[in-house]
Amino acid sequence: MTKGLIFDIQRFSVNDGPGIRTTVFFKGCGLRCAWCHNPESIASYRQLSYDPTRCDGCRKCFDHVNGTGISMINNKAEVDMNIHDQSVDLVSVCPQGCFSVLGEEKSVDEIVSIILKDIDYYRESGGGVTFSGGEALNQWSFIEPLAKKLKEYHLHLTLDISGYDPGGLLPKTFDLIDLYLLDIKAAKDEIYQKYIRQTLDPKVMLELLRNKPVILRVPLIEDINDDSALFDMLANLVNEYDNIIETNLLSYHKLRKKQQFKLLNDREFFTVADFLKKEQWRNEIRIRQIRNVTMENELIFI
Amino acid sequence: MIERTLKKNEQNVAVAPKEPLHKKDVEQLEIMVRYTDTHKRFSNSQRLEREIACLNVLFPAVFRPMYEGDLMVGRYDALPIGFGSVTSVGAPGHYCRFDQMAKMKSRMDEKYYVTIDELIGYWKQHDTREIFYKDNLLENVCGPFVDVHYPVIITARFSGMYLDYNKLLDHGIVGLINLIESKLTINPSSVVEYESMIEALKLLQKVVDHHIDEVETKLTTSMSKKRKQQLVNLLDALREIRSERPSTMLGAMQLSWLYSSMAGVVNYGRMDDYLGDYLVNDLTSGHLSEEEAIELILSQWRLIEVKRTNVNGRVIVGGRGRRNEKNADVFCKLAIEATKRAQMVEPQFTLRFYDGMDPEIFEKAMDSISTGITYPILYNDDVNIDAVMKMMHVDYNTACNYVPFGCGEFVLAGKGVGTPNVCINLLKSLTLLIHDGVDQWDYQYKLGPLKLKKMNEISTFEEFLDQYKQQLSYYIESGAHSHAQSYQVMNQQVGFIYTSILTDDCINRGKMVLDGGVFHLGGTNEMYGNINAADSLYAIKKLVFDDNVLTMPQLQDILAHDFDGHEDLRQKMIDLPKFGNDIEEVDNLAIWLHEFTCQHVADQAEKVGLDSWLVVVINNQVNTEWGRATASSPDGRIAGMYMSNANNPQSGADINGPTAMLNSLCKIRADINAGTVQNIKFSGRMFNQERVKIKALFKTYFKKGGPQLMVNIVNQADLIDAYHHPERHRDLIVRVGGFSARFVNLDKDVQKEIMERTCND
Repeated sequence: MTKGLIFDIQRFSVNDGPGIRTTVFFKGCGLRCAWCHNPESIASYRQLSYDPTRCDGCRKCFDHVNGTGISMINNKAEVDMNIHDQSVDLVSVCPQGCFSVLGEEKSVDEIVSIILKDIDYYRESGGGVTFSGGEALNQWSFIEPLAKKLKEYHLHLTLDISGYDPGGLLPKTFDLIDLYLLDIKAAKDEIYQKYIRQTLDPKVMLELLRNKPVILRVPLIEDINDDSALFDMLANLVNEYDNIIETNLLSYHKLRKKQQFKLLNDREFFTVADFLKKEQWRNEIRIRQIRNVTMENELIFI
Repeated sequence: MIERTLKKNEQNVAVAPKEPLHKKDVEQLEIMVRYTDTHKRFSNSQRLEREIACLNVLFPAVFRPMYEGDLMVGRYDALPIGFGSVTSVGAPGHYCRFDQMAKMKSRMDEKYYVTIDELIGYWKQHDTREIFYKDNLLENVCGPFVDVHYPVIITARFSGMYLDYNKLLDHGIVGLINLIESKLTINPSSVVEYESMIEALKLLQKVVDHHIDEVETKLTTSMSKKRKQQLVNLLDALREIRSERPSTMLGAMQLSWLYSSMAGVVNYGRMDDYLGDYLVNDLTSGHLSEEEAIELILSQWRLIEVKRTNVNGRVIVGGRGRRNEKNADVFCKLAIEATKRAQMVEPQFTLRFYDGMDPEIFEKAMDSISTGITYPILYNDDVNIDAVMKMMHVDYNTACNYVPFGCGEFVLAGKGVGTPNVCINLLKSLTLLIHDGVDQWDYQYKLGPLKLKKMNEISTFEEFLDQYKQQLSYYIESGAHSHAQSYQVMNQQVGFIYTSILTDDCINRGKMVLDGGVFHLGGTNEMYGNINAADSLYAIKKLVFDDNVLTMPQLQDILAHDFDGHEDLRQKMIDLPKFGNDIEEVDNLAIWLHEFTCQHVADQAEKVGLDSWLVVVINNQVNTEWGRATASSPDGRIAGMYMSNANNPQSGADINGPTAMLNSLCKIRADINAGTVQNIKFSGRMFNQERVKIKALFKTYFKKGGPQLMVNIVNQADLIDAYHHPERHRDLIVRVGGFSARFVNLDKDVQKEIMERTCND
């Protein structure tokens, strides 16, 4: 693969591994988590996105498609994203810049040149580069030469994985990746079935990663996956695998984006936890005495 | 033509209103009449005798009584007519504040009108700035400070003087008199200068006596035991400094404070350097506890704050070249603690730091910043000392005494002059050029006698840049001439006697500061609109010359109509790459503009007889005010909108995160000018949760050559709420440009400019 399909490169990324990092977000994911905070990362192709706040009702897009999948309501274009999911030609039609494309093909050199701009910051802070997604693992054949190039600069590399690896690609990454961020989504099959449409056993990945440092990342969604079974599972995993160096509890955020695009998951909006709920979660950790668990960057002392 | 109305700037960089004067209008008027009569008795050839006589009218009369809780004395009111150095407290030299006189008149009985009108009439001819303006304004090119219709603004002021407080404290008043007397035989031709200095010091003694009387009287009233002890300590200190050199921190603070007040100086030097030894001595002898020392510093901070200079009130701590670094660091730490507790907008508390400094100081600084106070402002010695050596042509030890004053212009403490008496709006200049010299704000022609090519004759971007260079060269050269003239005018009128005594090398040379006395006669030129100009240049390059989207006449037309009917093109302009995102092609134009202006400004120094004349990119809020009268520009900015602050990206234009923003900033060379200001904004959550990473971010930026940083810790929602409901957020402090302010006191468009800056969250 000569180019990777990227949906964002985030500099000064502080939540995806140690130090100051640049995170490269790869597009395409096999899971359909209902709480996904990056739903534009799911499709593994370039997608059209529409920002209605910029529309001034000029009708040029409407005329361009002869009214198919676009209607003018209150002098603003309403676009059926299911129909126009891949109509990227609309980008050059709109003078207001309402349309853009999610996903950009980039070469190794292009990405490396962006990453290297912040090399001094990685060195000072003990940071580096994180490959995230989507599911970055799916584009490993592109990441591999990229990672090799970055290793020439002795950069610390982190791979963020969902735990879903039907292609069995994970072992191929061991020579180049220094740290893994592994998602823990739920403890019960019915939650997996209902919200993710796939059942996963984190132990499958953890067994493979025995010799690599791992940070567990656990999105907590009030009344959905925050049951005692989840905390029990965390306690067991952390107890069983010494290579789990840290566990990050990530409180669900209701991130509404003004861009519209075709959703591939059954997105739902859930309750955002208040501080009382967060304190309850902390207590779940404390009573189980799970080591090195953080929430909002603070260690939960046991 | 579009009919435009300028939002009036009534405050003239006065964000926080001052307390009403202590004296009644009638009493003020009586003093001002005597001051004016005294002034009339002398000619310019007797300027030093005149200055002393006038100062004797003011002092000690203009000091107001101490407040309950003050641990030191020296609250001073600047009358509408009087003597000063800077525009924020009175005005430079002998001055009349005509705006304040008009207000006073409106408050007073009709029977005083004749007297007031006579005073105004006299000072229209004799106010230092009026004299300067009479011969130096250029129609439609150089306007008076701050008339935003002009591309160039000039003034006569004496801002940013830092006194040699060590000299004052090492000698004491009598010691200084003796020192000056000893020079009389060496420089007999300077007898008038020396006598004026001695008279000034005697007047200082009189002021100390006045305060001794005040405290003695106060002590006869009933009060708590604690208060009584405070006043007894103060009385002891005052009695001591009347003639001897001080032996305690209180005495040292008191002497330097009274001296600064009389000199009209509003930046207070490297305070840890001159107070550190006294503090440590007091702490070791048990004279003061740490807590008492902090209380004392807080009392000093209150006296600084009450002057409400808005853009001055600098206190410098830290840095290389302090006499006793260890003791100075002790003061430094307590002063950071006092600043954090005070939560006041002044002093503008400034930390100089360097690789190898006691790390605890930087930690304390970060703690203070995290409270949202914006202080300390951080200055990187490892970059700035070299720059000062190079640009002011001085050795390392001298350069170690660099200090930022006001909004951040560098000057040599106790050795130099660096007042910014010229300002140039680079964006307004560019909009004039685009429209063949005609300002689309007021439709006046503003290129003076300059002959430039018409825009429709220009075929390459290089040719365009060349025209811009010619235009800016003309403005810069006119400004340089005016700047030199401002010194001449001030020197003809006054000697700035107090400042001269504590400025090297006036005593040895027997000359007043602007008469050949000062070691380094420099000056600075404030640039505005730099980044909008650079972004606009990029837009012109791209749209007109590279991609042929527009012709120059089409661009003229679109801008002249404020994008009306061409909103799509405006959007295109806004969407083009902007400075602050670490994107080479646009950053390069900002670099080019900075380097060209810095070089051309520096080249003028010798031609107009200055030791240095340097660019400063230190904006207060004039970036917003000058933006109000700047026409639409090719970066997509509509007429009247604020311009970006100093070298910072246009608010909200930096979208690649703080590393990219700081990388762009680092590309702007710091070693060819005399100060720039850099803003960065974080949410409280981000700053506190990610403290370690943010420290690494700052450290890397400084290692990469960042000269300084001003950190705003705000909650974006608070800013928005304060914009709509000021009454709920009276205490919210923000860093604007080279000054901090209570957010709710700022004009709405200044608030908007700050709100829209990228907040790293």
